[in-house]
Amino acid sequence: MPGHHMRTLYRTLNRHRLYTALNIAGLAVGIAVFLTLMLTVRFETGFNRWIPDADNIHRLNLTLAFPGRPSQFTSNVQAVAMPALAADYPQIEAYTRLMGASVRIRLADRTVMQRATRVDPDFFEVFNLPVVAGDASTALSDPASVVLTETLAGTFFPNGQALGETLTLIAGGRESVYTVTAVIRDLPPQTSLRIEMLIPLNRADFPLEEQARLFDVWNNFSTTAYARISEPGAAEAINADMENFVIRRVNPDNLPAPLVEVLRYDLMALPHIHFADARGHDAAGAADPAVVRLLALVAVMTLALAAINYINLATARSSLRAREVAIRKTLGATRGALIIQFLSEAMLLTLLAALFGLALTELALPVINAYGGTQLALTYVGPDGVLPVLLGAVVVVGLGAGAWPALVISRFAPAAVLASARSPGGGRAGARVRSALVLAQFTIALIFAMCAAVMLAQNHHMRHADLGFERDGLLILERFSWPDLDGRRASLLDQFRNTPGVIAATVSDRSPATGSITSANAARLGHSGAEPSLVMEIVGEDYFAAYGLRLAAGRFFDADNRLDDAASEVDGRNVMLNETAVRTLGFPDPQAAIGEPVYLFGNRVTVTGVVRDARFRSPREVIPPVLYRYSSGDIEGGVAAVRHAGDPAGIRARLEALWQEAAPVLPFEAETADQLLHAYYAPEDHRSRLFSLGASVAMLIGALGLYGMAAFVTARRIREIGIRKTLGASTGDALRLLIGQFLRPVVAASVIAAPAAFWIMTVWLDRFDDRVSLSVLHFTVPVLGALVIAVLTVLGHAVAAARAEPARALRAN
Amino acid sequence: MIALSGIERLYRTEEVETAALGQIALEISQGEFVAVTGPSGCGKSTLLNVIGMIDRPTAGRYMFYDQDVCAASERTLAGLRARHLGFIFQTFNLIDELTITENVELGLVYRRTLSGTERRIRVAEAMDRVGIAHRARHFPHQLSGGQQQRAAIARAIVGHPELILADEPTGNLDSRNGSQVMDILQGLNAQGATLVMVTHSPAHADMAGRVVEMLDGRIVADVRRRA
Repeated sequence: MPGHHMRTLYRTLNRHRLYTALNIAGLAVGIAVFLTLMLTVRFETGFNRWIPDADNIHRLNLTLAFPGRPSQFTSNVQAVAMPALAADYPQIEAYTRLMGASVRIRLADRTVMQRATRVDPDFFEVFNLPVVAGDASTALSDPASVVLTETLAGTFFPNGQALGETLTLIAGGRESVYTVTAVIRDLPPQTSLRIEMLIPLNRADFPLEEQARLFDVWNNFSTTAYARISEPGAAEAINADMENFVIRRVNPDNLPAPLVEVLRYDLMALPHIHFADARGHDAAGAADPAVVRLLALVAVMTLALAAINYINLATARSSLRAREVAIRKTLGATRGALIIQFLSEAMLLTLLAALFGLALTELALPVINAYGGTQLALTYVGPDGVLPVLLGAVVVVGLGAGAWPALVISRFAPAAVLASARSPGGGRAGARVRSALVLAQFTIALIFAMCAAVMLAQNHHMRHADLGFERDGLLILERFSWPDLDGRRASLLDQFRNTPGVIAATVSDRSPATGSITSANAARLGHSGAEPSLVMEIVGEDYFAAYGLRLAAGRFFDADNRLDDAASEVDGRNVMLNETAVRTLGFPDPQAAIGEPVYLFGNRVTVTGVVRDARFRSPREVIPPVLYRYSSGDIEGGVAAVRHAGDPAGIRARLEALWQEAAPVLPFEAETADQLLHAYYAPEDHRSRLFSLGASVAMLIGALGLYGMAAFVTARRIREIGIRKTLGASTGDALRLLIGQFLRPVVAASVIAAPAAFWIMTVWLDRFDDRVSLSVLHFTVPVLGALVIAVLTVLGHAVAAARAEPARALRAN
Repeated sequence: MIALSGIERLYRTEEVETAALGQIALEISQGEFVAVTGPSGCGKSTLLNVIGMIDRPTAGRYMFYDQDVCAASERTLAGLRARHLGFIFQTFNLIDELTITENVELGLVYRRTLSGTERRIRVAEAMDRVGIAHRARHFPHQLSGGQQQRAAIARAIVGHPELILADEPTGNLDSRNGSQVMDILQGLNAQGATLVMVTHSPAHADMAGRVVEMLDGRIVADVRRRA
């Protein structure tokens, strides 16, 4: 019997190849999209979970709430914070602080740059990372020890024996020999920690004058800190007591506002930090949970869409099998047997589609990974295996999609079917259900398309919007502050300025793209309330020209004006503001601020110029209020910037030659503005593209479904068209009748989809500080697209039906 | 074997009620060959469908082998059809996707009592009997109307049913094919099968031992003749 059913199924599918292909293709594509998006979602939600005991490892987060500025979430905390916390709360079993460091490694023939992480000796007690060689418990106890990842060990010691070997590291201007004490496995991509090389965090390794600033004060935020807390509820208990901790511990000196208001600490378990970082200072690489949820929704909806499509085509096709059902019933088949037959057919088809979907996913993943910079991979079995998910989906979709047609087909009354020349289509109820399903399908597809349109518009906006600075022709040299250049910076900058093609070269105390929480309290006379805190930036000559910042009011700093120069020790120094700072200080407009006094740490300064706001960081971040001060002196921690015209490669080569002359062992590195922004924009871009992919596929499945429906419905209406034409209808009339029938659900779907998409996108755009405004076009273009797709889809069938000779059409039935 | 009394079959739409059968009383004994005749729309096919248990009467009582069919569940009816009945239609009603062998085999599929070998033997016998064994591997659309009807007969008789119901079995055939089909049916009846046949053809009705004549959903004449 099953063999017999299989044969019938095979022949039916083979005979109605179009339906079979549409059915399987729709489901396969739906399943492939579902799998791909779910892999992405699982990739994002699985961050850090691989780390042993991840739930018991907590990072110390800090939310800074400076008055007048939006609160800022960061994982950068003071080096003193975690030791103080561990001393106060015995629940903390072990802790480690991490401090990023760029070191140079002297090899036999050259010096290479390497990112290293300085960590406390207890690092491995917190992070029980898989060790390939060496003993983790003692690996970091010697100040001259270094731990490498497998890849890095292979790079420096290609013979495979790294343990016990030595490396000469130059860090902070000091050269020392380090011994490799352990090799750890490379960290998988699902890791927030970016670790390649570990060296002990040692106060003595820093210049004496820097030690106190780095390790003893509460206003320098240069470490991240992790604690191991295994006791259930302990982390929550500590979090509840954090305010007391701040009152008890934090030294009030140097902090611009009442402490409790400014500093809010919290401990967060590792699995949560990937999502939490999206709202803060460390947004690059983090995932916005809303976007991930949206992707999951798209995945499920696409699968639902494919299932709806299947149901629709299957019920439509079922009528073609009405005669078969009637005969089987006449010959003694029970309704149950028929239901089982049709359900197993649906399951089999779904399984087939799942296999195709799986193959499609395998084919698509390399492309998607290359496109989005991800490392998604299908694993079939094991805890992360897709097979159970896939089988689950097959059962759910197979039963869901097969149940309705099975119930409809098996209900056909044999006597009625056999007596009639026409096949029943499930009756008026069946037609209604099919219309509802087509409507649902197009509504989902249109919501997707409208959302995708807004997302793409937002991406385009982010890529091309005026960021307030000239992004082309800008090079940023972050290593300008390295000790190798001590005493040579001014002359190097002059040499840069004299290089052909260079328009301006400058130095400032920080890179605008790295962000800063250096702040200054500023006040205006006669304004009560908390003094707003502004980001203070010390800038050198030509700063605004080099970054391409534009003037909104007043004038730029003048190197010849002593009142502008903070290094000249003249009272009544002049400062500049950005537009946000103007608003923060309560001036009605930039012009109104010019010439006005502002009190900075109690000293009176005068606003001489206002520049347009510039966005150097994530489009999600609010632009901070900035106060610029000019200094002709050596700027501490300076970052150089060069504005150039013409061939970037040529300029770069000329700058590099000058650099190598000044600092022969410090490799030259210059980043363009696009490289700096990439970290913020690439993930957005990737997720939007994934979403658009889902949306396109949803539309495609919708079109497939419509195509199948058109084939079915026009075939059933051929007789009606014949009668209408006999009565005088033209081919055009018939065409309008048929096409109109299919456009109705698309139009109805638009009416439902537009408000839904509008709401979703309003919520989504809210997360961006710099955002595109919603336009009617974002909604009408997808609708027009859907209408065009619908017309093109049904046109072929409609034309064939409309042009049929009436006599033939009537005879056909 | 069959006892119908007070059988009615109404078709209702929202506005109209049509009586396809009214107060039918009919008894058919085992081995009879009954022809049902009458003008188009008089209820012949409806009566056959009711007898064949693929349509339920609106009122009345239908006893099949002393079993009340009207009250039986769908499942019971399906079982009765599979075990006792064979159907032959004017439009053959073969399944296009199946070969002739497979179509004939369908007459046994829902019986579930025979082994694969027994089924194959029975199918071969049935096809032999109606003379289409040489077309066994063909699909219905590759056969002439007469051949298709013979295949349909093979499917009806492959299960050795006690009752064969034929709804204008020669209606779509030319006279030569029509007489061939009638010869087969007569042969089946001669071997003991009960045969109820709806027909428009007086000549074919004459071959039956009993002619039931219908008009407007009622039996107006029930004539038994000597064979």
